[in-house]
Amino acid sequence: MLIFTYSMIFAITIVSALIVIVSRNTFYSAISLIVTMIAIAGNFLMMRAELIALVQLLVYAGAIMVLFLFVIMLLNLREEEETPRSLMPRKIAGLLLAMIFIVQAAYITLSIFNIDSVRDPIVLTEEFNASQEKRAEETGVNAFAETLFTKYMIPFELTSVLLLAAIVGAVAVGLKEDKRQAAPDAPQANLQ
Amino acid sequence: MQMPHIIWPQWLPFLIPLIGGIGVLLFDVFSNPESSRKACPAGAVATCLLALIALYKVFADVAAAPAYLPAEYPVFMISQFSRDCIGIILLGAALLLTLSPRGIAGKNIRAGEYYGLFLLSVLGMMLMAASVELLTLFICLELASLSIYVLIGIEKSNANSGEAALKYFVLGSFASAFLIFGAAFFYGHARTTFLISESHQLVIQGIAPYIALGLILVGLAFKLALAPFHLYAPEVYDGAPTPVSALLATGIKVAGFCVLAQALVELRRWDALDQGATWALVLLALASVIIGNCVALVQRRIKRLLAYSSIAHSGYLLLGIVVLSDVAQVGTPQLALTAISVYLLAYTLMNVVSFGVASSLGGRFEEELSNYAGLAKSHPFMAAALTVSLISLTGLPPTVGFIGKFYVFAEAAKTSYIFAVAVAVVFSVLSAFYYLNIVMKMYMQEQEEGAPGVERTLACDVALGVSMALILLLGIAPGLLFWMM
Repeated sequence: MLIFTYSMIFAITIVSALIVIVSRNTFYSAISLIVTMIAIAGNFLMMRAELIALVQLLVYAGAIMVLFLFVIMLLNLREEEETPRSLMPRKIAGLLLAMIFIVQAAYITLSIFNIDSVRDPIVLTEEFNASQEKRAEETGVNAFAETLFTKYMIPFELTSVLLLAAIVGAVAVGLKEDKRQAAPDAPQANLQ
Repeated sequence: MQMPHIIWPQWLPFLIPLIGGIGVLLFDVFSNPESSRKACPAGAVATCLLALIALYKVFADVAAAPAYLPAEYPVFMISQFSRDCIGIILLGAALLLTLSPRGIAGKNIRAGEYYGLFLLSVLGMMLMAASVELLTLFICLELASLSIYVLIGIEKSNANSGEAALKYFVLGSFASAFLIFGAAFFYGHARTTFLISESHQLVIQGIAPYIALGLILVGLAFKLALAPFHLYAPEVYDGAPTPVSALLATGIKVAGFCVLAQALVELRRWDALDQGATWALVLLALASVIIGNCVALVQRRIKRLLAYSSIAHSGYLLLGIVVLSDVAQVGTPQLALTAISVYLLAYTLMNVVSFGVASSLGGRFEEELSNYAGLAKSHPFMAAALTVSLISLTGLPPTVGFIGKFYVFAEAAKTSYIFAVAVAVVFSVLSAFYYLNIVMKMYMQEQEEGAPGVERTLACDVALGVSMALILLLGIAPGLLFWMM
């Protein structure tokens, strides 16, 4: 059952990530990027990293994607035109980078699991899960919140002051001209 | 449940601007524009003065040992030097806030946002001067900068103001990225984000610490407008509302120099500096002095001229900082730190007056220099104030500018970089040309026919009068400085 869930999430991640690259419609790309982000959050959740999953959802699937969609809608991007230049150099570079990535990923995975021979993947995942279970207690939302609101309280509160300044600033910059605010001694000419 | 540390009296000087800033913002929401335009500046000035008094009451005896602000994670430390820097920031802010009502009159600026953000920005600068940890330093720097980005562009009917804000925002964010990248390298190497700490020690080994300190220096040098990171300064100072230009020239620089000086003292205590670091600072200082003074010679707009002059003054100040990093130097850094704080006070007062005169006269006096012709006849008080501040900027006695420059150069001459001091002295003589040129215009040229007069306000006269009196008084009797600090 567990392995099934894992496989589903992996599949969704990879397929939607592929759609982001392959799709010719910018809007579809953006939507599947959201799906990818949510699926990655699911991956984190499966690894018992609830906090990172939450942050992933809030920051990437929430804030950053809304920004992307706004930009796409505001700029009104059309379907990308076919570039006349040869794509060969880019394809070679892409393949090379992909190979380097795969080798690195394989190296890290193998060194984590310490695999001598091929083992049953189900046993492997269960072992992995057990170790994650223990770590979740130390790094979970509870532990994080406790340090954040005790030890790091002052920097945390400072950040809220920073955000207050940012919000007030955004309002001050974005506010429409207020007629009654115009000072009596204001030169009316440059208000137009 | 343990009581939060924030209620301890040591936090008072920092809580006052926070409460004042939020109070001003809220007051503006619940009152009509007319009364908020009157009450907000008064509240803001009172806040700064209260904080100044609280600061010197609470930290009356930090000379012996620096005090950490009580917290489980002690990221703010008040030493004598940082206390004096915070005091200078608050004094400058109080004077600029007094000048602000006239400075922003007729410019279609909402009072609540202006004074609220001004106070939050001052809070950011104060905390920045006190912070000893890189991440907190970054948050405080961003608090100060974010508020200033908005203040620069707050005059929405003026396109220059918006352009200046965008320019400073984009470049400033880029500089902050350098700072945070440097902090990441620092953490990677030292395993701590504490720049100043009693338990940790930075060991210079390999290239990582150089990259870390270099990137942090670049991030700070941008905020200090040191050449070659100064290119934004003239346009931003010219476009911003004048009191905000003055805040940019004084407050954030004082905070930045405070951080830089304390970091260098700490690095030298660890024996973590070598000749290369000092040379980097000497070159930055010389570049700022030379570029600032030479380009100021050909400026035709008052705020651009003051911008280049402030670049040059950053260079002189950095020469004082060089003393702290010089490895050959022995003994305590206390003398050099005192010299730097005297210069910072002088620099703040002079800039408050020169930007203040431009903002109190307003209109065409914030633009072309040629408009200053004949000012001595039409506005003798303003002309006198500007003359005193320009003489002080040149560094002539009997002004505090001379005392500051004298101390800093005397300290710097003790190091092996005496040639740098010689260059700085030569260029500061050169600066007399463009400073005294304005004095000459005011007193010896005739005013254009039909130029309209400017009404004076009591607040401006008081602020300019107090600063002018301080410049002269401390110039004549510098002993008062040590009694005050």
